[in-house]
Amino acid sequence: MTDQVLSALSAPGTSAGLNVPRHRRGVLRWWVLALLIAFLAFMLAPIFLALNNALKSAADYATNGPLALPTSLDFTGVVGFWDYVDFPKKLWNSLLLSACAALFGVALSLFNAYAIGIGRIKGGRVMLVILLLGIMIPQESLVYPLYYIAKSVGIYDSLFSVIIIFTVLQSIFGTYLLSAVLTSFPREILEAARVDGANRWQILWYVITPILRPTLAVLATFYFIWTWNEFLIPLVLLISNTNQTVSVALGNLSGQYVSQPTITAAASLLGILPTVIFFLIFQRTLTKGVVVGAVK
Amino acid sequence: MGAVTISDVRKSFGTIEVLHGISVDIAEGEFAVLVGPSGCGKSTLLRMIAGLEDISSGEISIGDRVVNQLAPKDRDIAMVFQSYALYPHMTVAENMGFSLKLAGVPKPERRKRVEEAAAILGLTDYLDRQPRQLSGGQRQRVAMGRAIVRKPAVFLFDEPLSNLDAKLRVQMRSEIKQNHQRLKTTTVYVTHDQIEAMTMADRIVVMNAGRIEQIGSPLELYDTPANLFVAGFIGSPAMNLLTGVLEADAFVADGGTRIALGSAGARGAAGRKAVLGIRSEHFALAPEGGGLQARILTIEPTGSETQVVLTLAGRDIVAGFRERIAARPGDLLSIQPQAESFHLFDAETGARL
Repeated sequence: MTDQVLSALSAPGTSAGLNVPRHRRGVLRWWVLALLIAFLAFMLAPIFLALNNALKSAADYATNGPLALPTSLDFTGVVGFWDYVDFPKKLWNSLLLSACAALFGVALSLFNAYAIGIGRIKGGRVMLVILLLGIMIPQESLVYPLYYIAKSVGIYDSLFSVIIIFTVLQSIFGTYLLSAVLTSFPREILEAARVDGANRWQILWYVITPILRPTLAVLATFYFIWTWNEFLIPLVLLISNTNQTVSVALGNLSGQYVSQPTITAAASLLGILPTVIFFLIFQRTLTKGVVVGAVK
Repeated sequence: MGAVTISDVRKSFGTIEVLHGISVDIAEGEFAVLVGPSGCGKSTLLRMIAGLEDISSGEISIGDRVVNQLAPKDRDIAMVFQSYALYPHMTVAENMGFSLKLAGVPKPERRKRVEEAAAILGLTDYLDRQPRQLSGGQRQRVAMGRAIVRKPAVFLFDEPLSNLDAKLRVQMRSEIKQNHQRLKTTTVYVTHDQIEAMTMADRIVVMNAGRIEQIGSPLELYDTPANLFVAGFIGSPAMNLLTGVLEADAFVADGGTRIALGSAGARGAAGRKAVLGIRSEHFALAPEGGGLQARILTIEPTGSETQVVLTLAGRDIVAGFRERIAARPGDLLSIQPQAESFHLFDAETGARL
């Protein structure tokens, strides 16, 4: 037994997985590839369905069903949805909400984490736990209190209320993450900055923020996408048509335009598209930032 | 303007006092080294001068200002850290100019001073690089450059060479020394390496367990250590220490070996238990059968001298000889300790007799 362990330790190349003969390994790889392709198909199926049905006419859909390819390209579904819900307005609302939540959320996370991780304020840990409770409890239970507060301070049915709420809600995760990162931030760099004459604000702005920039970019990207996809709270707080977001418009669709599948498909397509574009733009920062967090 | 006066400074972390009343005067332009084993409080003292630690009691002045309540940036000091603590996202020039930028120095002036400092340190070609593109020695120089551009009244160094390899350490040691001779800025330098202390310091402050053991020039400490701690700490190889009892004209080591004390005698302490200290270079070869007989454990010829580890009075001692020695390990060697260079310490208090 001990000998086996020792030989395994001394020859790290001969671990179980690599001991499989070469031709068998080849077969295994094909299976893995097949499995991954199946997963990919599974993931892409809804997007394909949305795309497929968004670009066909209602008559085409009625005769050939949802799975057949469109007989001719038809944009009435897309145009219909675009006009019905005043899509540019919804898009602008979503964009404004997500961008503000991302920007302010990151700023708030950074301030919180600076106080907890670097400032080591008393009770920082406790505050972190209380904050985390905020994202652990289901949103359904937050909705009524938020509705009530928004009503009583007079910001109900305005984007402003939702921006505040998501800035705070999103910042919790970032506060947690950045506190951990900043707790292990090299103290000597901070001390060097103090000796160099930086005050607390300057240390945050000139030293910590630039070093954390990749991490902050990832946070902002996540905040943006998460906020974009939020449904329940915007649905409850934004009742007038001009204030609604894309996801709320999507949700309202089935009620207002009783089941027009091509329009629903077009709506889904237009709903996904901005996040996909956003993701494509920021995917480099994302992959870069995930490995960051360690400061040398 | 750059003198540092530390008077009866104490430091406590909670209920534990780690510095028990430290008083040192460091003259303007002096290169003072705080040396001691790890945990002796030397770094804490330095950080208190820098303003990175509060002063529990006592007073620290820089120039003629008491700085106890001043923030680090207002103390007119610059510090070089053990890890260099360079800003990883800034170029070398930005690292060096950061303090000037914060102080609102206009850009052309900043540039000029950074370039001056870079020229002194041989960093001119590296100003646009980032710290991660530099070697350890270059990073060390940038850290010094960051200190130099500010033209502070006092430089503080916190074990700046301990992250470098041995060869580079020797080189940087003399660079720091040269820079000091050129700039003549008061310097307080912390190290645990007594060779660094000996080679660089104008004056050494030996610390142990939160107290000062002795203050003096390197050779004062070497020639007349005030107590057993300093005797054992300063010098390489370390001083040979034998325990025993003093008689009127001889020291009787614990094994019974008698060592004549020469003209200085027992210094009025006859009959007392004492420790005899002999540096390795204070042994001479005696004619065969004369002097003291010691058995050879190892012989290490270095060319210029021969270092021999011997057993004398039951202790391993190190002796260095200019002569080349033909004997082999296991042989007996006749040696004659030079009585005029003996160090005697009280066995109980450790104080020099």
